[in-house]
Amino acid sequence: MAETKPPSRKGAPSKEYYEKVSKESREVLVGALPSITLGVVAAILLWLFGKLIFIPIAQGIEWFGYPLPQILTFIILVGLAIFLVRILVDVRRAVDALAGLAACEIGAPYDVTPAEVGHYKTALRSILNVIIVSLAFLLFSDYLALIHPALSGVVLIAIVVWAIFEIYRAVKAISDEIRRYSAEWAGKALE
Amino acid sequence: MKFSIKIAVLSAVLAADLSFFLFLGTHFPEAYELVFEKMPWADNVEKTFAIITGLVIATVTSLSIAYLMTKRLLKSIQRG
Repeated sequence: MAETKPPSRKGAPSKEYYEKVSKESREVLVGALPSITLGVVAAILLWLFGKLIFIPIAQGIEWFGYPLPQILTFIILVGLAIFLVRILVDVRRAVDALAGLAACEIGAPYDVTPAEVGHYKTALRSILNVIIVSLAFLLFSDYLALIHPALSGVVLIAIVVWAIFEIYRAVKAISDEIRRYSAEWAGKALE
Repeated sequence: MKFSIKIAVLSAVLAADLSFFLFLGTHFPEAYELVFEKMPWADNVEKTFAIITGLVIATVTSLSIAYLMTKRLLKSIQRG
């Protein structure tokens, strides 16, 4: 995988390093993609079953004074949260593997350094995290509103603050690369 | 157990579970209520357990079907 320690010598890594990273990245990607698919399918099915069948049928039923729709909502939210965490962990693994693979397949002939791969990895991971969490919020929002009408809004505010931070990280990682490239070009132009 | 038998059994369980709550519960409410009336506990307690169990069964069976199919797809891709 992309976490493999690069060789200690300075400059571009050796050919063996790229081959090792490429092989490990492929293995991780093959393991992570089905897991992500399964997690997404599970989350959507749980949402559909809850929304269309079990919550409507639970209306008006109380269990020792507690309304059953709210208990069900809580159970579904816990289930969705577990699936979401699994999806995020697998996406993280897949992004790391993709970055490693891209560095080896595209970057290796041009002597891309692990630090550069790290920057792209950070940017890609941050953007994907924001997309996944925003989509997950669409699944969660109805259920959160069922527990308390304000809960959905509070979670949305938290997600917006977190998304700004993640986008800032992505922009910082990319701007480091832009700065490095412009310094190289400026150096060449002055020569 | 063979793949097709596993899928058939899981699909049958899922269909029975969903048809009990969706079909019986909405189209034949008398039959649905009768099932709970026959049981010795209070209706609300029975219904709570039945609905939570129904949700768990529906999620687990559909997830198992998706898992088996993904595994099968991966195997056929690796063979090809």
